[in-house]
Amino acid sequence: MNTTTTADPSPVLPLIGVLTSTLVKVQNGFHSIPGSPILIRYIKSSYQNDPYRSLLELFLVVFALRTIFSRRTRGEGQSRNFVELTEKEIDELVDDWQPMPLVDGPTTKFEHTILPSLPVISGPASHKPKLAATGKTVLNLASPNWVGLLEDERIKEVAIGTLRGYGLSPCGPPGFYGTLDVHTQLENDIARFLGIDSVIVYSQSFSTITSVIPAFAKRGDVVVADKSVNFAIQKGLQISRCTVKWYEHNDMADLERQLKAVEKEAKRKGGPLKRRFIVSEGVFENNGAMIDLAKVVELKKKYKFRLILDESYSFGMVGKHGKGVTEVFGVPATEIDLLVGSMAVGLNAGGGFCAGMEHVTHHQRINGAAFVFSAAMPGLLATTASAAINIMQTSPQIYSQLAENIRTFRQGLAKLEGVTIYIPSNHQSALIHVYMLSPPESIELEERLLQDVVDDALGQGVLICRAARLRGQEVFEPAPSLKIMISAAFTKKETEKMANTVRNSLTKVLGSKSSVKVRKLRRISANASLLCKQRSDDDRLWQERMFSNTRPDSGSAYCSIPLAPGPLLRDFRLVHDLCFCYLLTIIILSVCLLSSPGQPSLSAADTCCTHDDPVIHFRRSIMVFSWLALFRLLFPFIFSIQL
Amino acid sequence: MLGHGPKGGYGFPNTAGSANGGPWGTNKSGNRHSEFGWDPNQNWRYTSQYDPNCKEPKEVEPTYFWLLTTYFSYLVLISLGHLRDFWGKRFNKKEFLHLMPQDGYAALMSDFDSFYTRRLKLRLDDCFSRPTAGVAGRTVTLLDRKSDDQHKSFQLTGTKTRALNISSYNYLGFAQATGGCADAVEAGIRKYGISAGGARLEAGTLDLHVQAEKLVSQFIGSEDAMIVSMGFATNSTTIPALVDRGCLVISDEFNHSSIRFGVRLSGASVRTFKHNDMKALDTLLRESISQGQPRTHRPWKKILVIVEGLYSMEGTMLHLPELIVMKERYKFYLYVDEAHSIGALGPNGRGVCDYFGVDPRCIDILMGTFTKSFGASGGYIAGNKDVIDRIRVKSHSMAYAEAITPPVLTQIISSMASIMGVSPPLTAATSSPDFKPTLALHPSSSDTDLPALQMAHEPGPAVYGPAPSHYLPPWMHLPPALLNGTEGRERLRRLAFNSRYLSSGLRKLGFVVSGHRDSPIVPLFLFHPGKMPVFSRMMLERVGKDRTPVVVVVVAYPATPLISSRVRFCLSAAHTKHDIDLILRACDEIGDILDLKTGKNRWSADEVIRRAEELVHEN
Repeated sequence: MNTTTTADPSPVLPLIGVLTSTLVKVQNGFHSIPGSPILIRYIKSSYQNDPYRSLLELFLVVFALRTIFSRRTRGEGQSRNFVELTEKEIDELVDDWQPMPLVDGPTTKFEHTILPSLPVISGPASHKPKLAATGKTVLNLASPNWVGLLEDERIKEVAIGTLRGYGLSPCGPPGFYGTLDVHTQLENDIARFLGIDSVIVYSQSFSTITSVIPAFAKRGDVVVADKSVNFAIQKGLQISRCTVKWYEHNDMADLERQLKAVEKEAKRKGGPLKRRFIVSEGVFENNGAMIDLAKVVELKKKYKFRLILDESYSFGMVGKHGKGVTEVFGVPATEIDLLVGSMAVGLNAGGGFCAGMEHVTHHQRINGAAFVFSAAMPGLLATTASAAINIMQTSPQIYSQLAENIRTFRQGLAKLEGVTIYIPSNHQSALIHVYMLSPPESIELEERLLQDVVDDALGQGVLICRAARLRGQEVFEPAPSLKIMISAAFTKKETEKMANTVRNSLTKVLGSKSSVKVRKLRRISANASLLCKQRSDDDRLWQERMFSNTRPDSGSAYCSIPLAPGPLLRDFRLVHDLCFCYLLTIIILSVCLLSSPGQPSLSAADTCCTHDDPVIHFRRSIMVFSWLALFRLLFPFIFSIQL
Repeated sequence: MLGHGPKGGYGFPNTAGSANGGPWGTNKSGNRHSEFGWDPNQNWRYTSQYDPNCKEPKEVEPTYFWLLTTYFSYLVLISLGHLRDFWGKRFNKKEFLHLMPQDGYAALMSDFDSFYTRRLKLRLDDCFSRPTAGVAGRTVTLLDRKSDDQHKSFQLTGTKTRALNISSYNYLGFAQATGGCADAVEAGIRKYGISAGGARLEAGTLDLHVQAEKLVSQFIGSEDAMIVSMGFATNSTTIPALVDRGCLVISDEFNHSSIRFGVRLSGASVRTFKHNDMKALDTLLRESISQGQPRTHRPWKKILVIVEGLYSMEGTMLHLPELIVMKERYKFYLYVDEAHSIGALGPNGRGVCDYFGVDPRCIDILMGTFTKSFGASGGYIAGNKDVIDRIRVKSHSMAYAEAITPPVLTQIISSMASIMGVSPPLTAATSSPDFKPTLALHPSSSDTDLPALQMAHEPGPAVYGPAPSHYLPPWMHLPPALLNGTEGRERLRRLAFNSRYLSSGLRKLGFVVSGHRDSPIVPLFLFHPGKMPVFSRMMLERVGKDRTPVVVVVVAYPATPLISSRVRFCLSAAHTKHDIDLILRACDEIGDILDLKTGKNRWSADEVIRRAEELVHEN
């Protein structure tokens, strides 16, 4: 620090004079600081003993200074791309900037007709609702009402009872006094119904799986998913930032290929074991097909994957008691690691649930975003769901009625002539999707034709709907289809009538307008890949765009902020790291001190050891490194307290 | 709320006997005051309105001693946690099986992710997720529970405790099992059943949905509105319909998790600015607009600023007037999340716009929820008709999620109408009297190319009129007090008084309290993690003269910064002034024990209670 310069007689003598006087001033100033002689003595002795160590310490000081003075906000001026601009230039740029409209208008004529063509039901939704526009009563094939719970009077009484005891809303998230005993009761009811360990209920069915997937699958984890999974799953996968591999819809051979590939890849790369999941649906929302659960469970066990099964549509619909695909295949529900279902669809109440082992649901109670950050669902929706389960358990005959109606309807539809349609839906599924086997060239035209079918059927007193899709937002664009939902509430006669009506409408609209002959498409009726029209750009590219979060983005400064865990988690990590560091230091120090008898303290170690003892030398370097690590963490930490 | 006065004490017995019956039982008699307190004194009312002369108190900074000891507390907790993990993994493998890879499966939860839950939250788990039964009104019935294994599992003891509830988001006290709204909901259930059946874009639209959306837009003062079945999903599924790649979202750092969720799904770039700091926002806007997109420097397609009206953890209020001025200058779109402010702020209860007297049509997207002030559930998005119609066809919720259920819609309509008051058709009413339930687009949507901004320049303050009577379903019969809006007004004024009283009172007692004085959310800072469970337990099992139990919410790390653990009080119109007195006294007692007070010129609890009106009206 205060190195003595031996002055050579040279022409720059006055300069040196100034330097020396400054140096003396600094020296005096330094000496006046209390404790400075100790520091100087320490530096001197340590330099004499061990020059490397002084170098390290110097480095440490420089590093600490750098840390203090470096900017702590990212993306601000630090980016190499940042262009320095004057205030005037910025003002001009601000004046010039014209944003695009907040929303783009409807781009096609068809989009204009989407909202006006929606049916509005006047009065209750039931199997025979009244339309607001015409006042006519129609037969409803467009609402999920598998066993006719929509208009059940018993359920209404239960709901009113709960209303009078609990009010409507619990007015708070589950963590803060929003957990009602009826929620717990419902969780137990579902768990007992499915024969599974424990259940957690969410307040919206759509958000359940979107929240469940990111609670477990994290960056770096691998998910193998069916190409036809519903939109909620796609969003869950997107937000989890895990690596997604897609297998062809319900193609078990391809699934196995993908699983093998993942396993191979993991072996090649090595490293720690990653979490691996298979994600699929029980009955697919997009086409009504059913998963081959027995095979999937076999494969998952073979390749050691966990299974996330979305039973939003199949729970309450298939199986002898409506328990879902696990009941159909006779697979115990405990074999499914995460079983997600819906009370809104299957039980005609509201909300969704996730079932699994106790630690699985417990984890979601603090990590499931839609559970933690949302209000608990109204108590009366929980009790009505419980009541619905009770009804399903005690009257299994409704499921035979449902199966009967499905059979009748499909038989009626099968008599269709002159038009080629394709129904990928499973014969047990009450959700039936009708696709055109010979579709016109554009999706829009196809949608319009199907809408004509819907309108025509509505004119004849049967309400069906076109499957709502968000064009341009799905990973694999599903082909347009008619969505038909059969209910046990109908009699056989009504079902036959409805089948006839739908058949007539199909013949009338598609038969007349599209005289398109069946092209090469017939042979793929077994191959469900028809259902997933690939987007115009390469499927791989699209996938990459949707799920590439590991790819370093051009504007990392901008894009990394939302992806980062946020200031709170950073804060926590910091304290956590710091704590680790303390522990490390304490351990190392104690090891060093305990193993060197005769050198009880740090200062003693400085003065009385000789530098040619390799053991002490080694010990001392470790000590210095640990101090270095400590400082590395301590400095940003101290300054984050905003002293 | 009207009726005979409380008979001694605080008007509700806190024994188990009075707790509501089982879930299947009805409860028509008694307990009225336990849901909504009786407080006839008209001096204890206030109007929530922006007053430029009223200075907001300066935020009290915690002392360094508190800060350092807080960090030290975490240090000890974390060290112990790691030691226990280290030990447990070697000698008590059974407990750690799910955290370790086994049998070829990776651990389902990573060690680090669950560390906080296992090692820190577990210690105070008895303060979270307390099971309740019955209405979360002025009081709430707790189901007592105990744990024999250090909070790993809880067993219900079978007894119940009725406690004063200062924790639920029941701002206007509409969480009621009796009264006009509940009667309307009962009638609604009898007429409509429970479920609407299906997604809104398929066949899940009832006439009730159309009516409710009309009423909501009238309430907000916007052109149109749409309703989503879950508050969280309102944000998370709508934001992707507004922005995508090439757009920039500028978000307050304390925005709710649902907003972050939605933004992440949208694929837009995000920048955050310091909480409620309009200067920081200005700097950021200048930088973002002038720099354009990263690397290419292409101009942003659009910039969406997302802020909240009232921040649920801080109690701070948005500086709306400044933001509107900036919006003119920088041409960004504004998205205001009014989850907590709608119904709770403003002389008419219409949120921050009403509070500041800003025309709600100046704001592009107004979002809010029904869980809080209206005692229902779900959320809404309000804005211009062309914008909302576009969101209707692009939002995830409309196409794929279940429609909001009829009982909830009935509650929304009845509570909202009673805040607005209902009148025969007014001249100011925008719609023709013959109500036709249809979702039709405006036929003249050819001018949709114009930026929505041009619509936003309609001058003049918003007029919040009563709800035209034809907006209500014809079968809905509300009692006169709800119909003429007197009860709604009374609720608003009681909430405003309670909020201001507690916030000012706690400050005078010397606590570190943040947030706006008109905010019904009052956070009281504890800092030390160890004080959280103690505070919560002491409020529940009080010692001293008055033993009325109080339930409070303590909030820590995942919802707030690590350092600032706090108690959060949520006031309600259902509270009486005596309830607030009780809370002030309880805080005063506990504050002394836990060393939570700071500052000079502190008042005693008695003085605060005596001079309550003065405190509330003080500028």
